[in-house]
Amino acid sequence: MRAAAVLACAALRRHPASAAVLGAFTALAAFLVTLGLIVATDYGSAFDQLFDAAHGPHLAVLEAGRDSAQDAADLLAADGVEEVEEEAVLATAANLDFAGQDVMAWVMVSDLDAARTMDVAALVEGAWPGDGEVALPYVLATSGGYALGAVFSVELPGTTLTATVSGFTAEPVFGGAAYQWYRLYVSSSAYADLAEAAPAAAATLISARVTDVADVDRIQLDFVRDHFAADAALVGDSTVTVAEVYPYATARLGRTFFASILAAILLVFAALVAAVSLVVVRFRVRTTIEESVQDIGAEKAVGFTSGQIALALLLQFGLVALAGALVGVGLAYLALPGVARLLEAQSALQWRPGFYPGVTAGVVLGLLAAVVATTGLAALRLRRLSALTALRSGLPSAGVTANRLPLVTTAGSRTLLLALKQSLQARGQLAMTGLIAALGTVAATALLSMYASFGLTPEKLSDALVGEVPDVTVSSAADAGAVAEELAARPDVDSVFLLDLNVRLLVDGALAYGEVVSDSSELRGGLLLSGAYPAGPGEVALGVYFADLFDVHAGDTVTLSAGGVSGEFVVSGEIQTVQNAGQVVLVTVAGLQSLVPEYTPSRVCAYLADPAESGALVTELAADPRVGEAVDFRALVAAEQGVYTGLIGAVAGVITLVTAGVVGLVLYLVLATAIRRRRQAHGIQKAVGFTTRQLIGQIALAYLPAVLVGIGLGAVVGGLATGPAMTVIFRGLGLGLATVDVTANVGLTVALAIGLGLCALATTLAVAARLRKVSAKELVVE
Amino acid sequence: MGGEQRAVVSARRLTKTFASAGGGRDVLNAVSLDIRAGDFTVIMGASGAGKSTLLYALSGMDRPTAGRVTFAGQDLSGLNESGLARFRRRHAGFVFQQIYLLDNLSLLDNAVVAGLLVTQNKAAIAARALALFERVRLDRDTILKLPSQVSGGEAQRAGIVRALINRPAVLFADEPTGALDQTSGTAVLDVLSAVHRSGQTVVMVTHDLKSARRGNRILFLRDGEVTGDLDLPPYRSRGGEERNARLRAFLDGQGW
Repeated sequence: MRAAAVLACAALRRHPASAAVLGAFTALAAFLVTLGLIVATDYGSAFDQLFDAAHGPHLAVLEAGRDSAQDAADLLAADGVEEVEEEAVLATAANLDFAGQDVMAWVMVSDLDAARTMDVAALVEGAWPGDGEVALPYVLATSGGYALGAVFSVELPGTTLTATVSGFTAEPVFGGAAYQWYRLYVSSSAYADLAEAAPAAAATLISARVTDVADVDRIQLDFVRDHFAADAALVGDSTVTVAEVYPYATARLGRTFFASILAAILLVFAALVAAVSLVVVRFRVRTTIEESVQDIGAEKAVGFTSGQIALALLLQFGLVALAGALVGVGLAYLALPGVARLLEAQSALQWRPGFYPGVTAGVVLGLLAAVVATTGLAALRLRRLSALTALRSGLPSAGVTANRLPLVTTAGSRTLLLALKQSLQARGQLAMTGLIAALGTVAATALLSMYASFGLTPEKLSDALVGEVPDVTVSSAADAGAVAEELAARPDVDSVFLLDLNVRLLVDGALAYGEVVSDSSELRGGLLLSGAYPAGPGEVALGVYFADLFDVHAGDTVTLSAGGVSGEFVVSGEIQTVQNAGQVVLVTVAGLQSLVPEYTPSRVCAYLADPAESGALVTELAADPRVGEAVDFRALVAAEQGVYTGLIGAVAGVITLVTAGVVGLVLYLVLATAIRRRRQAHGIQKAVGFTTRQLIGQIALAYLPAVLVGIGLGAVVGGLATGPAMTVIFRGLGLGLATVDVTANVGLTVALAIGLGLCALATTLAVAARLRKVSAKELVVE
Repeated sequence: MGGEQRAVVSARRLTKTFASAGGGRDVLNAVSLDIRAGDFTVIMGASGAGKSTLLYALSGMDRPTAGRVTFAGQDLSGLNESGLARFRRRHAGFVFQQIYLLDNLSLLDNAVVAGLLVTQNKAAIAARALALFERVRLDRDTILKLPSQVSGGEAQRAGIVRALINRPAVLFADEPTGALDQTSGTAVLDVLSAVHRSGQTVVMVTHDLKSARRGNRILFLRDGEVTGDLDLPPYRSRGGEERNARLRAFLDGQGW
C-alpha cells in the first residue's frame, strides 16, 4: 500500500494540471448534485413541516349563503375525514398593491382570536396585530413589496380595510402562491367592525383533515357533487357566492413548484457533469498507462504487481475525486443559503437548510465509488501488459497498425490528410469530446430556449400561465357591453371582446372555473390545446384536467350546471392553463345565458393597435365612472412573471458558462495530452520543414471539427427536444398543462453555438500554441 | 580537390553555449569552416565534442549562440523559426540516428509528406519518391508499410529518401547507423555513398571508423573546436588501403 501511495503521489506531481481539471469536474458534479438532492428531498418537507406545525387542512371549503353547519357535518361524515372545523371569515375579490402593481386577488380576513385548531397562524416576523394593524402572509413581504410598519389597504364590499402591517405569517394554504388567496389577520375588535361594515363578504371556512391525503381528491369530488350540483347561483366573480375548495396537494405544489423545477435542472446537469467526469477519468487512466508504459515496465521488472500499479492509479484518481467531491459539497453548503433566499422570494416558504449527512455521504461516496470503479475498469489492461512488453513500449492498441488515408492515393491537401489521420488515431478521444460538447450544448440550448420562450417572448409564458393576455382589461359590472362597443370604435383599439374569469360552474358534477367569452374567434392566447374553441351556445371547451378526469374529448357531451340549471354541451376542444390548476372550462356568453339568462359579462378585453399605448388608454378609462377598474393587463402579467424569467435567465446564463468551461476543459485535456504524446512526431515534422503555424492548423483541423459537430448536433437536438421534454415535465407536475410551447430561439441558439465554437477555437489555439515550444533540435542526440 | 569547390555552407566563429548549473558550457567554441559542394564531409569526435550540435547549427535546425552560418547563399541568422523551417524544407535533408519517421505514415508517405511541403504536385512527388526508393532498394510492398512494420535498416533507408525528396543542397546525417546492426548499417552507408557519388553533398556525424571511411573529408572536433581537417580521395568499396591508413593516422594524431 505504501509503495502504491508513493507511485500515486509521484504521478500527481507529474501532471498537476490534469489532476486539477479532473478535480474541478468532480467538484462541479458534487456541487450540482448536492444542491439538487437537498432541494429535491428537503424543500417539500419544509412545506410539510410548516403544514404540520399549522395543523393545516387537507381540504378547505370556503362558502357563503349556505347551511355551513350541515355542510361541515356532512364533510365530517365523509369516509376518510377525521377532523372538521368551521370559522367565520370575510372573503372577497379585491385589488391589492403587489410590488407596485394593482393586482386583482382573493382576500380572506380572519379574526386573530377566533377559536381555531386548523391552519393555526404562525409569525415569520413582526408581531400579532393590535387595533389598526394587520398581519399579512409572508409572500407579500418576499414578493409583494410590503415591510413591517407599511400601510396596507384593501377594498372590501362596503368598506375599506386600512391598517399598519404588524407582522407576516407563514401561511401554508392561503399564502398567495397556490391560489392567489391572501389570508389577513386583524384583531377581534377590528374584525367585528369590518364584519358589520361588509356583510356581503361574510363567508364560512370549513377546514378538514383526512386520514390519508390520497383520498382528498375523491372526498372533494364527492362533496362538491353531493352539495353543489343542484342549487345555488354559481355565477359571479367578485364575492364568494357558493364555494371554493382547496386541496392540500395543490397548495403543496404551488409552494414547491419552482423548487422542483430548479432541483430537476440541477440534477440533470449534475448527471451530465458527473458523466463527463467519469469519461475524463477513463481517458486519463488510459493515457496515463500509455504514457507511462515504460515506467510500468520498469516497475513490473523490479517486482511491482499489476495490482499494486492499479492500486496506485486508484489512489491517484481516488484522491483527486475525493478532494474534488469534498470541495464541491462544501461549496454547495456555502451556496445553500443563497438558493434558499432565491426560492423564498418565489414561494414565501421559509426554508432553513441544515446539514444533510445522508446526502453528503451519498454524494461523496457515490462519486468516489464511480471514479474508483471507472479507474479500476480502465486499469484492467495492465494485466495484459508484461514487463518486457511494457519496456518495449508495447501496448498493442496504443500503436498505429494500418496506414489509413495514404497521402499518395487519397485526394485532399497535405494538411487535411495529416489532420484526418491524426483524427483517426484519436477517434475515441474525439468521440468523447464531441459527445461532451453535444451534451453540454443540449443543456445550454434547452435553458436558453426556455429563457427565449418565456423571457424574450413573455407572451408564451403568459399563454402557459394565464391563457389569454389582452393588452387592457376593463371591469364594468353594469355597462360592459356599452364600454366594449365604445372601445371597439376607437382607432387605437384593434379588437374587443368580453371574457369573464373564475365563473363558478359544475361540469359533470365537479367544481369548475368558467371562462366565459363573447366571441371565441377573438381569442389570441394559448388556451386552445386541441379541437376548437366553443363557437356556439351549445359548445364547451374543457380544461385538460376534466378531459383526463372524465375521459371526454372533442365531440363528447358533458353536463354543465350553473344557477341551479343544468344543460348538455358538446365538447368542442381541450384547453390548458395553470390557472386554477387547469380545472377550467370555456363557454360562450350565450352558452352560459342558456343556463342563467340574467347573466351578463363584466370584463372587457382589448387588444390595441399599438400595445405600447396601453398605459395611456388605461389612464383614460380609469376616469370613466362606468369603469370599476382598468388594468394594463399585459404589463401586469409581465411584472408578475418577471421573477420566473429572471431566474430562468440566471440559470441559463450559469449553465451556458459552465458548458463553455466544461467544453474548454475537456478540449484542453485532450489537446494537451495529444501534444505531449506526439511531441516527437511534431519535432520530426518541424525538422523536415513544417512551420509551427502549419502544425497548429493541423491540430485544429484534427480536433476542432468533432467539437464543432458536437456543438452543432447539441444545438439542433436541444432546440428540437426541449419543447417535448418540458411538456413531459410539466404534464408530470399536474399543472393543467398538456404541452408547453418552448421552441428554440434561432438567433440565441446560433449565438450559443458560435460562442461555444469560438471558445473551443480559442482553447485549441491556446493549447496548440505549446507547439511553439516543440523544437526540431530536441531530436538532437549529443 | 577542395580548393576549386565552392562552399555551400559557411560557418564563422560559430559558438553554442548551453546553460548549466555552474554557468554556461560552450559546446561549440568559435568554429569557422566551409562545407564544400559535392563533398562527403564526416564530422568525428568523442562523445560530447559537439558533433551533432555543429551539424544542427550548420543545417539551420538550431541557432548558434554567436557566429554566423551562410547556407546556399542565405544568412541563416536573419531567419526566424518559420523562415528556418521554410529554408530547411528546400535546402536541407536530414537523416537521424533514431530514424524519426512519422509512425502513422507509410514509408512512402513519410517521403511524400516532406515533398508536399515544397510542391502540391502529388504525382510528381510520388514518382520521385518511387524512383528514390528504387535507388535505396526498397520494394513497393515494403514502402507501403508503416515504420513499425519494417526493419531498422529499411526504415533508415526510407529516412534517406525523405531527406532527398526535395533535392536538398546538403544531406545531413547524424549517426545514421548508430541504431542499426552491422548489416543494416552497411546497407545504409552504401546508399549514402551512392548518393554522394551522384553529386549530392553529404555531411555526416559519426564516431564509427567504418562509417567515417565513406567520407572524402574528415573534420575532427574536440571540446567544441575543429582540431583536424583531412581531405581524402573518394571512397571506393574495394582497395583503398593507403586511404584507410591515412585516415587512421589522422585519427591517431587527434588522440582518437
